[in-house]
Amino acid sequence: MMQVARWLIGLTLIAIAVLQVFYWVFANSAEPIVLGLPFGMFFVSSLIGIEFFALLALYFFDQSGDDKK
Amino acid sequence: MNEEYLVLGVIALYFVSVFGVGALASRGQQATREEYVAGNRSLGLVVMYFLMGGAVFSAFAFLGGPGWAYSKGAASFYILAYSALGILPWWLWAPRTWMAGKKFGYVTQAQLIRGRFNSRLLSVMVAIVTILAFVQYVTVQMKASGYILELASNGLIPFWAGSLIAYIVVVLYVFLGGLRSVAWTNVFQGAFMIITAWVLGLYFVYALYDGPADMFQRIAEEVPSHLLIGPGSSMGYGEYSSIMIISILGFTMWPHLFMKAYAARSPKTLKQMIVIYPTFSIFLVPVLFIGFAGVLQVSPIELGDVDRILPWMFTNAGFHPLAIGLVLAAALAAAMSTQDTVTHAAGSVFVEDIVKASSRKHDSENPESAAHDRTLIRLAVVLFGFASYMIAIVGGQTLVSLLVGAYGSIVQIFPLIAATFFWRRATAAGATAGFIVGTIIYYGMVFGFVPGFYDLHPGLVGLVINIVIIFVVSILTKPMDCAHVSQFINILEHDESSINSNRNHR
Repeated sequence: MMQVARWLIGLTLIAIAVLQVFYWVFANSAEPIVLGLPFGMFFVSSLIGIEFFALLALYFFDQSGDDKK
Repeated sequence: MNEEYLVLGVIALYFVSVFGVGALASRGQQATREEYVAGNRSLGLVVMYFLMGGAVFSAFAFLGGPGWAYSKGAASFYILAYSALGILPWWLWAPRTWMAGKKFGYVTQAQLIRGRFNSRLLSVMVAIVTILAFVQYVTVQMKASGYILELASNGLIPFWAGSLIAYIVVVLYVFLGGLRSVAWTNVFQGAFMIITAWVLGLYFVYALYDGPADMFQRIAEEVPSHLLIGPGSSMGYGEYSSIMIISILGFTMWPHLFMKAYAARSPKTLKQMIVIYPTFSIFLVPVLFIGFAGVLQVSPIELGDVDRILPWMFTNAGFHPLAIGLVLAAALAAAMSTQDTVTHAAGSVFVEDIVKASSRKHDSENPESAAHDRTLIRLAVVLFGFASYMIAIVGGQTLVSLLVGAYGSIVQIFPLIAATFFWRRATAAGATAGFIVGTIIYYGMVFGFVPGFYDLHPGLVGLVINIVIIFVVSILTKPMDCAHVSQFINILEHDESSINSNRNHR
């Protein structure tokens, strides 16, 4: 169960990386301006935010997995 | 005239504080290489966070970042994205590297590679490529501190003297306290930079415009291509994506960052550090604002060098000299917090992987030779500093292009580390061949002997060929001893007791 969760989060992180590398496919635009940022910059920053929470979850599952061992 | 003295006074105070922190951290240390190079493997979360963050928050981010936002616009988003993503591969390497360090007494990256592949030649080559890239890296930071002090003194302190003064402070505390001084000065400098960056970024956006939304709206209307990448902008699609890939894969390969895995208290500390690390990218957002705020204020022709956008902005904003002093000190902090860790790593790599690798008889565990090692590393720190200073006062590229250049050779280490921990079948011949060819292709493209491939980053082309060659040559050569390789592949499965007994044994 923990192992599955870790894999899922790992895949999420890879997906985030792919989205960042090819950000121009999805968000190569100045409009709309969201939270004061042009759309491209907002997109890049939001992905960083999601990455942070994904890492937090990964750490959580990782530690509870270790404790069981 | 008085104003300049006030600005310089603030900067002098900053220098004294940094040196004070560095000197304090060096007190009461054991005179061993494990202490000097890896802080006795005992650093906690906060120190690790700033130690790694200081590297991202370098002059590259602080001066180069606004320079890119100003001159290249949307292409600068890559700085945010890669500094958050570059740390991810560390989740895989860092705990394993930490274990290997504990088990075999490693303190550098090349020692790990040498241990896994049993190849002195390979580790010496890695060390040489490392030091070449380090020179480029430190040169970037030195140029930045030169600009800063030249500006602060209104030309009174020339460029060459500015780089020299800042670097002497760095070399002094690195000399004294090794990693611990680097770490604690980075905590001080990191906190100082982050606060300054936010205050400054938000100040410009609200002083010159009605907030960020208004600023970007106006940029989008007046210079539409500035907030886009691709044809018609300053950076092509392939270029953006390949720089991103190189930077993400290359980031943790930087030997000065990689070897910090040895310095943490435990693998758990390393993982915690990785979790909070992306926050550093968010700290960079206002740094880019500074550059964007300049787009509609001054033309690049008027500015001369795009890396001078940050200094230009505040000298034209009519700041009080005390405020100017603080901003310049923060920019110096950015440059110096990178210089110290790179210089420290360069000294360590030079002695551990080049000097010591060539003398067979060496017992690092003997207290006398451990102290001798430290003396050698200190000497190498000073020599490296002098050599890169000589290069810094000659060169002429912009800050970012110098750094992106250095990434291309460092990323060639990526397949070696991946194979060290994850590919049992990789052989010394494969690793050596891949690394040599990848590096030669990269340098060949940079210097124009080998033709470029579309607008892809030369480092990426080298990396792909490097991986193919490692794979093919490894398959064609005899597998390495299974028991030996398992020590690295299964490193996390060795329990604490075996590590402890191993350690006592030594």
